[in-house]
Amino acid sequence: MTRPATWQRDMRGWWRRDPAFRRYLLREATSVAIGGYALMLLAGLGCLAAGPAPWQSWQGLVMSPIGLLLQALVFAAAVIHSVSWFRLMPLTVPPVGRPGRRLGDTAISSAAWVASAVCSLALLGWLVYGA
Amino acid sequence: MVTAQTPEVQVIDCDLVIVGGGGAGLRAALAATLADPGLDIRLVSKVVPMRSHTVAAEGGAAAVLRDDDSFEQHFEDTVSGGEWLCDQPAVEAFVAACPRELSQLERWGCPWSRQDDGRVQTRFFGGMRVQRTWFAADRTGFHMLHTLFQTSLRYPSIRRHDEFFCTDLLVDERGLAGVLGVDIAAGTPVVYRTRAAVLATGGAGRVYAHNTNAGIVTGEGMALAGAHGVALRDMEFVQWHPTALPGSGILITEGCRGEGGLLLNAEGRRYLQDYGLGPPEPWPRPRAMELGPRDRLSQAFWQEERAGRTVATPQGGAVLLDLRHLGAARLAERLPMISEVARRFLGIDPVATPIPVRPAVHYTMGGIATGLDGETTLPGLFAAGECASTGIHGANRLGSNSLAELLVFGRAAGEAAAAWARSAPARAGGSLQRDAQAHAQHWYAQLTGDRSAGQPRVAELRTAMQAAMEDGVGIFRDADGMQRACQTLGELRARYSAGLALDDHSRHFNTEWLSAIELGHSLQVAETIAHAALARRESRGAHVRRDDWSARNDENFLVHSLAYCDPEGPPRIEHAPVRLTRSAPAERSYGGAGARVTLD
Amino acid sequence: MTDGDAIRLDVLRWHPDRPAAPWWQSYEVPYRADSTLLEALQTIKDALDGTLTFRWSCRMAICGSCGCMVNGRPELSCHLLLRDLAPGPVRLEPLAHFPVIRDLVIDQQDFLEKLPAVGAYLVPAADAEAAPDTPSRQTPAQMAEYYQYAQCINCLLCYSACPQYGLKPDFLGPAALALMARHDADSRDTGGSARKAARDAESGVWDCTLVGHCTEVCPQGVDPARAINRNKTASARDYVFDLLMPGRRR
Repeated sequence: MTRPATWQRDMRGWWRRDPAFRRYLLREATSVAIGGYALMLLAGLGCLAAGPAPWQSWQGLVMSPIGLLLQALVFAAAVIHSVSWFRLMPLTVPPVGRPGRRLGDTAISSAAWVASAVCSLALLGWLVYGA
Repeated sequence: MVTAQTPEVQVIDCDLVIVGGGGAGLRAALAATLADPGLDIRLVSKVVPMRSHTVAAEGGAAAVLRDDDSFEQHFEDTVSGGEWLCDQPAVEAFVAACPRELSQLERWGCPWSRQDDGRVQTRFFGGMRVQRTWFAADRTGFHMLHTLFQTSLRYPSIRRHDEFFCTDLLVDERGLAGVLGVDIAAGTPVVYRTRAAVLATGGAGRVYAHNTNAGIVTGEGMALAGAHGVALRDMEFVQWHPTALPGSGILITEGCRGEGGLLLNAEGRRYLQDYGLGPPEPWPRPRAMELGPRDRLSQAFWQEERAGRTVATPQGGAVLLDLRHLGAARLAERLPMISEVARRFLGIDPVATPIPVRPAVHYTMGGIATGLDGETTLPGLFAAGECASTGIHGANRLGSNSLAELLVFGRAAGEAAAAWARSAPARAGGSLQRDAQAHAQHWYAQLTGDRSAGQPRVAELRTAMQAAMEDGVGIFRDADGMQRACQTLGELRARYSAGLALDDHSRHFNTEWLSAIELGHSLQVAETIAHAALARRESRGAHVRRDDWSARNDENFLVHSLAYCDPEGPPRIEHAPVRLTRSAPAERSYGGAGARVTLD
Repeated sequence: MTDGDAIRLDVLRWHPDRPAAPWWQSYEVPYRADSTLLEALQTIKDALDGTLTFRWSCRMAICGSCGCMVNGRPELSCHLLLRDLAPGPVRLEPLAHFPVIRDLVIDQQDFLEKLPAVGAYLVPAADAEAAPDTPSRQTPAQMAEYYQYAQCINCLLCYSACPQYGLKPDFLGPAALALMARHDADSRDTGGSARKAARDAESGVWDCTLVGHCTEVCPQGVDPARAINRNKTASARDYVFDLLMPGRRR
C-alpha cells in the first residue's frame, strides 16, 4: 500500500481555536503567579535576614497600592488554581477502595477541600492567636 | 493494456485474502492464522474494520447457556422460526458450535453483561422458548467487533489493507486466482494473487430505501461471487425488523421487547393479540406477543397501518414501543444506547414517553450458497456471515442468530480456507495480471463519465432502485408488483450499463466513483431478490404474497431458490431441495402455549 | 428557522492535485429540523456536488466514521441535528491535528498503528484462552473497573481535542491510552507488564498535560483524561520502586 499525499495543517495560534484551550492555559498560567508570590516571600525572608532597613522597605513595597494589587491578582490566581485542580483531582487519584466500592469523585474532591480548609484555618489561627 | 486513465495494476502475492473486516471476516482471519500461523493472510475491507456494520448490532447473540435450555430447543426454535426452509444439518452444526464460539469471544475480552455472581446474563429474543441471547448491554455487535478487531492486533500474520475497495474476483481454469480492487486513498488498482479467498462482505439491505443498515451494506460480495456462476440462495427472504425509527430506519433493538417492552397501536392496544400472537399478558411470554418472530411482527404492523391504526409521524405511520414500565435504572443498565438514540434523534426520554417505531429492512437471509465450511462451487472461494447462505435462517431468521452465525461460520470458513490455501498450488504470473488490467480498465473508464450525454447521477439510479424494491418487493407482495419491480430493475441495469455521470473524475478517495461501482453490484443483487420472489409461488416466513399464492406450499416450494446472475440480463432462477433431518414441516404457531417466566 | 428554508454549510476543502490551495466552499441545503448534519452532507453529495468527500457509515454514532470539526469543535456529523445548528452558517473542517487526505477525510493510519503499540487487546492467561468451552466469570463490580473505557468507538474526536497531539504527533494520545487502561483494568487480562514500556515512555502518559478536552468531546462518555492521569500515578510509582529496588519483578 502506498501512503497517500496529505495536507498537514500547522499548530500556529492553536490556543485561539477553542475556549477549552484558553481555560487550560489560564489554569497553567496561575502556577506562574503562585510561583512569583513564593519568590516574593523568599525575597522578604532575605530582607529580614539582611536587617531592619531592607525589611522595612520590603514591607513598604508589599503594602504599596501596586503591591496590594499584585497580591490581589495572585490571590485570584490561587483561587482559580485551587478550584481547577481540586476539580481535576479525581482524575489523577488511583482508584481508592475495592472494586464495586470505589470512592466517588465527589468524595475525593470534598476531601481535598476539607483538607485545604483545615490547613488554612490552622494557619490563620496560628497567625492570629498563636504567634 | 495500461491507458492514460488506468494505472498499472500492482500485484501482491499472498496465500489467503479475506474480503470484509466485520465480525465474520475478522473471525475468519483469526481462525486461519491460528490454524496455520505461517500463512500470509490479507484482510482487505472498504472501511477500517471497526467501522463495519457488525458494530451496529444491538441486541445479542444466541447460544445455549442456561440449564433449562438445550441444543434441541435452539434447533427447534430456529427451524420453526425459519418455517422449515432451514437446512437442518447446518442448523445442527450451528447450535452445537454457538456456546464454544461465544465463550471464545469471552476469553478474548468481550464484556458480556453478567449476573451478580459473574456468570453471563441472557435475555429473551423473539421466537425463543428459553432466554438464550447473550448480550453486552445494547451494544453487543460493537463489543463483539472491537473484541475481534483488538484480538486480531495480536497476530501480525494478519496483514490488513484498510480502505481497499474490492471490484472483482479473478479466476483461472483451476478456480479462484485473484482479488482485484482499488486502494481508495491512492486511487490505484491492486490485485492480490492468492490461493484462496473468503468473502465476508455483509448483506444488501441498502437496495431498499428504508433500512437499518449502514451505508456500506450494498451487497457487492454477493454480486462478486454471482459474477462467476456461484448461486445466490434464498434471496427473496429479506427481513424487516419490526422496530426501527421512522425515516432514518435507525434500529431499536429487539432486546427492548426481550426486557419486557410493549407494542401499542394508535388506540393504545397491544395489537399483536389480533394476529395470533396473544393472549396479552402483563408479563413476557416466550414466543408470544412482542416476543413473536420478526416476520410476523412486521406483517402485523403492515396490517395495522392499512387499517389506519398507526400514529402519524412526519416520516410515516408508526406504532409505539412502550418501555416506561421498565424504569430508569433498568433502561440505563440494559438499554443505554436505545435511550440515547431516542433522546438524541427524537428528543424523547423512553423513561417517560413511548418510542414511535415502524419496520425497516434489516437483514438478507439469503446469500452466496455455501456448505458448512463456507465453501462455494468456485474452488478456492469461501463465504461467511450475512453475505453467505449456509441455510440456517430459512425463510425467517431468529433475532440473535446472526451474530452467533458470523462467529461459527466465520471460523469454519477461515479454517477451511487456510487448509485450502496450504494445499493449493501457487498461481503463476502473466495471465492473471493481464486479466486484472482489463477489469481495472473497465472501472477506470467509468471515472470519465460526465453529464454531457444526459447520463444519470448515481443517486438518481440508486433512488429508483430503492423505490422499485420498496414498491414491488416489500413486506407483502403480489405478482403485479414483483413483475413491475423486475421490469424497472431491468431498465435500470440497462441505463447503468449505458454509463453514469460523475462530478468527480479524480482518482483520489473518489467516493462518488465507488458508490457508482457499488450501485452496479447492488442492481445485480436487487434483481436476484425480485426474480427469486416472483418465482416463489407460495407464502413462507418473510415472503408473503397477497395474490393467489398466500398459503404455504410444502409440496412444491419446500425448496431453496438459486439465483444465477447474468450481467446482460435478468438472473436465472432454479430451485433445489431443502435438507431435512429430524424436524418435519408443521404448522408454525406462536402465542398461547408459552409458560410464564421471570426476567432476572 | 422553519422546514424548507435553506441552511448554509461552509466546508473547508482540500485536494491532493492542488496541494497548496485549500479552499472554502459554501453550500445551501434544505433545512429540516430533524435532519442530521450528515444527511445535509449526503444531500450535497447526491444532488449538488459529487466531489465533496467525507466518510460515513452507521448513522447512529457507533461506527466512528464521520468525525469532523463543526464550528471549531470535534463532532460526529451523524449525531448533530440541524435544528441545533440553525440558523447557521455551519463551518465544517476535517478533524484537527490529522493529515488530510481529501476534504473531510483524514488519515487515521497513525492511530491505527498506535493501537498495537499500546497493547490494546486482552491477553488472556494461556490456559484460559485454550479452554473456551465455557465463559469465565467476571462480576459486575469487576466489569465496572474497565467498562467505561471499553465504550471507545475509535472516532478520533479526542485526538482533535488534544493540542498536545497536534504539537507532538508521537504522543500515543487519548483513545489509545484509554484502551490501554481498559485492558489493564480487566480482571481477565495478564498483559499489564507488556504495556508498561509504552505507558512510561515520554510519548506515553507523560506527554499528557491534562487539558481535559478529550473527555469533554467524547460522544460515548469515555473519560480518557482519567485513564491517562491515573496511569501517571502508576507510572511514577513504578519509577520510584524501580529506583529503590533495581531488578524487581514488575
